[in-house]
Amino acid sequence: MTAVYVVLGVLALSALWVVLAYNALVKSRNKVDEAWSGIDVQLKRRHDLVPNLVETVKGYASHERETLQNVTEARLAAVEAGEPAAVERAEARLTSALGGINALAEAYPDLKASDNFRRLQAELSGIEDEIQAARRIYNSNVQHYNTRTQQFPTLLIAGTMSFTKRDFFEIESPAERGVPQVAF
Amino acid sequence: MNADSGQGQLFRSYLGSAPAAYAMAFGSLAAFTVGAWQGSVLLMLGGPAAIVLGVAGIAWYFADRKAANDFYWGFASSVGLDYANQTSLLTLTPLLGAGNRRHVEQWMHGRLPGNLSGGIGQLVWERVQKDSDGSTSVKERNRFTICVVDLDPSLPYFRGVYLHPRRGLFAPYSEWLGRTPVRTVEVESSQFVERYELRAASDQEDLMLRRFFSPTVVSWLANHPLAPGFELKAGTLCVFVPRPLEDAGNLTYLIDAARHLAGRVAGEVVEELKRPVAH
Repeated sequence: MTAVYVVLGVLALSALWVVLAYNALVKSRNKVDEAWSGIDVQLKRRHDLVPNLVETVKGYASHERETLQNVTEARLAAVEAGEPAAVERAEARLTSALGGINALAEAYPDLKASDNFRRLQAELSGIEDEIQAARRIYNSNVQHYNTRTQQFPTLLIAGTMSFTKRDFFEIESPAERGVPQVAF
Repeated sequence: MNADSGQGQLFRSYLGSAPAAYAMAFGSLAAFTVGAWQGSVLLMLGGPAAIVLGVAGIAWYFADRKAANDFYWGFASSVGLDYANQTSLLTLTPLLGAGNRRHVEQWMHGRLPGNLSGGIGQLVWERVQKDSDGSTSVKERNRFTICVVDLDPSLPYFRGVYLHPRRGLFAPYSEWLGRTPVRTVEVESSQFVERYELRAASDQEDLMLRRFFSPTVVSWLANHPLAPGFELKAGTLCVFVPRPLEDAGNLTYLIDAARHLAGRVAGEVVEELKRPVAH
């Protein structure tokens, strides 16, 4: 009879552990999703700002059609991107295209001096800081979640209940990713 | 520089002072005489030793206090603040009203960096219990370092925001929110949630709260080396760490944290004032 109680006790403890481990995994996964929506909010703010920026630049440099077109297309692609990997690519393209606007500002002193342009640039810079912070939060949550799914014995629950590994989110323009060339 | 700087030098000077020397000489002689009169060798030898140790202990206590007072006075002067050895503050936030007996030590107040009005000091709060025989006993005594900033314009927008370091199972201090009506607020960062508990007054507007806890603020708090908590209520921001900070570097760091948070609050208030009024 004692052996039965011991087995029942072990089973009850195991069941309790499964419930706790499962709940911890769900909580961790939800945090990743919440952090993703945090990034999404900031990206939407950036998307909303771009048309104003383009309009302002048009007023000073209307014949720089190619740069403005590039930004508009990059914005559209970023708005339409759904999956994290696609968002990552589209946002990198938008970041790169917005870099073109900064270059334009250097070539057009009136544009650079415009109050509206400076305000929008400051706002954009603030939003980009928020995007970077949201990205750090997301990546930290992903690391936390991935570690949980890979640690023994939680990986037994994660494996059987389809808690799949999540990817980190990076927004870098291809130019930033490149190795700098040093010439002597 | 910290609160112990100069303690050794002060101790030596106190020990070498005339009152200490007289106390040790006369005390030892008296103890020896009493020992001889009683016929106790133990008292003849142990008595003078106990007197010397007692005087040294008293000298150490005063040296420690004086060194701490000198340090905080010097720190206050260096950052352009006025110094008060002890004071009491209005209980504007739950922490400032924690426990049933409290006071603030080493209070440095005036214009903080960033042109903010406020002060920094050590809040000592106690839970005192009245026993059945009518006597009182201290059940808990805590020493927190606080930096209080006046933010009157935030009053209509921030009804109560309480960010407390997570206490864990063996926290050395008890919860002080008591009966304050609050709700728990979820933040998306796991790192932040591991470190803090965020609660807000039940009538606190959620949108304002969400805007305040933007990703940059959440990330900054989640990685801040001091892990400061704060309470924002009644136009008062009280940034704190649940331990005494006794060195210039950490005190400066806490003031800087308060300045940063006050700047964020002020920024949100300005944004809110810019918004057109809904009819």
